[in-house]
Amino acid sequence: MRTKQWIRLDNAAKIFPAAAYGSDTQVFRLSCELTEPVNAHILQQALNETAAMFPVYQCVMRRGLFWYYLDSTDLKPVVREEYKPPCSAIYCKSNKGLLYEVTYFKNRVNLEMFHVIADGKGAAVFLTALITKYLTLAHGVSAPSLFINASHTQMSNDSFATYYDDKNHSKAVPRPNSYKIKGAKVAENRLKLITGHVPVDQVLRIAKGYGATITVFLCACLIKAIGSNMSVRAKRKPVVIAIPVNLRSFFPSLTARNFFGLVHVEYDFSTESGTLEDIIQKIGKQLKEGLEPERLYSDLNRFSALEHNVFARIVPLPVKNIVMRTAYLLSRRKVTAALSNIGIINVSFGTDYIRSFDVCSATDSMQVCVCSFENCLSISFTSRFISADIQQYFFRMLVQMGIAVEISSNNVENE
Amino acid sequence: MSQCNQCNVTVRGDNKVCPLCQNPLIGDVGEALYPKIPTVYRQYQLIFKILTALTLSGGIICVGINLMLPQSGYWSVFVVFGIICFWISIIAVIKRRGNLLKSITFQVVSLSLMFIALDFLIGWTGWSLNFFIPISCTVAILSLTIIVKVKKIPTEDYGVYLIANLLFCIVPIVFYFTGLISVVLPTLFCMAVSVVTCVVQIVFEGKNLWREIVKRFHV
Repeated sequence: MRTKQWIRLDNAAKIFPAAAYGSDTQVFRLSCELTEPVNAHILQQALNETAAMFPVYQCVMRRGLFWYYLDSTDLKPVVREEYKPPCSAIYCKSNKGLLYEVTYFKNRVNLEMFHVIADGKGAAVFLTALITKYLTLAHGVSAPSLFINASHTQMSNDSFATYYDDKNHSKAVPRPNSYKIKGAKVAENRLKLITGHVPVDQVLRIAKGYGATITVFLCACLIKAIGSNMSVRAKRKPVVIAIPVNLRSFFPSLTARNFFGLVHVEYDFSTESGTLEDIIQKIGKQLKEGLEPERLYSDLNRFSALEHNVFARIVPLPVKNIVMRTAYLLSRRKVTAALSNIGIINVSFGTDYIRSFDVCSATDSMQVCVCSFENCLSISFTSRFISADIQQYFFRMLVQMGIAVEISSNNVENE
Repeated sequence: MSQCNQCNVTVRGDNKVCPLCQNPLIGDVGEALYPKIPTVYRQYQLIFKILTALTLSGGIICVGINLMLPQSGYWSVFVVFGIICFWISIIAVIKRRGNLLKSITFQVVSLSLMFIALDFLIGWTGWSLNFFIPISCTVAILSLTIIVKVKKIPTEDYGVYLIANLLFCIVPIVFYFTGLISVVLPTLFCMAVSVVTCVVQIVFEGKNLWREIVKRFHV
């Protein structure tokens, strides 16, 4: 008999089970739209082969007395036609299943993952491998050498633990409470998903014109859009955007699990001018400071130190859940929205058969997820709110700069 | 592909109005991009409402009648107690319906506690300790063992219940040696069954059980 492996949750993942609640399921979706309808049978075959390459994701989450842990399992992933709203909960206490799901709808393949097992970068590697396998099988092409540049142990490495240095961490800088978006919410904790496709070259040209990167440019547009919907009194509080940062680009790692940090940028409409140029300049500077490796490293150490604290470790899990949930809710009061750019997605084969890649994430207020494939930049808003005024302002702003925008939505209000 | 003239964007999918500004779109309506998922309808809600109304009103009526006839004794206490036990069991079963082992474990623990309380209420004769706990523990141990074998449940799924099983074995032994038990036969039978199953489990699954303990209790 094969002895089964089990692993601890990594440092970032430890908060997610406690934080998952209501619409904020801590699930994200990466999807790929093909130019042809998806064949479920071939997709299943491709998924079987891909799953075998990523044993790190073949696991279920269980509750120990002190911590959750991931236990490897023989459960096989099953392809289904899309049957629930985007980013619905995957982990269920009483029914231990895999922590990711592959579904399809017409031309689109969706990969939904519980954030406990991976971040966007890890999921992107998995999805591109799956799509490449699918397209080679569907078109009878001899498979191009599809290999992942990491061994199974490298993929399941906990990079937070690898880099943790308990002698080197700074004190947390207290931040003020931020502006929170308010409004009527969509029923049943569903999320309103609005995706805009824009040409990468056009956005890049305009962002360059402002001397900014795409992330800073889009973040500034988002802040301006949020600002346009704020009342005068609400403007006394700053707008804070959380931007996840892929730590693999700073600390070498081949992990397929979580390895990211957060940088917060803030903008205060009551004291600043509120022009796009000014926002870009202010947050560009903040992001640059936030991305200094020493700063990221001391943040990493600070969060890991919490996990390694003896007193924190011996508290039973149910108590820990309450404490972590409270801490999570308190930290959410200091963030208005999140913007996550998972960057360029590359596939080694079949670009002609792929229309676009999209990414979106569950949230308790508003989240913007960005990724690009070839010349298609995909910007997805997930939001708890019925009103789409912020999204409207954001995309109209891009249109006014001469960018061609193509919108799609899950039309949550029609259901 | 349709067009919104207010936002100047193209809109994909089967929208009739613009997702951004809700103005009517111009052009052909395309195919749906997302499935229509009906909102969840709680199909059993009515049954629960009827049950809640019946038990609540039943309890209140009994307490009322009891207050009118104080010479009949405090019998309504038992009615209210019964209703509470009924609801605890029902809710527990529904919440753990996906997991038979967990459900059995919880039922044994909760029913034992409830029956000890009931025994105490009636005027302590010790029947809960003498009969109910040893018999329910024996049934639980046997059914856990049979379910695990028949359904071929892997160790990591039942390990924690085996640990609970050990507890079932220890509790009657404690009662036995503290002299709380007056009728010893059911307790002795329960002890024999649990010790034998535990020994067999340890012989066959000892390594897995130890791994399970390490996993469940890691700090």
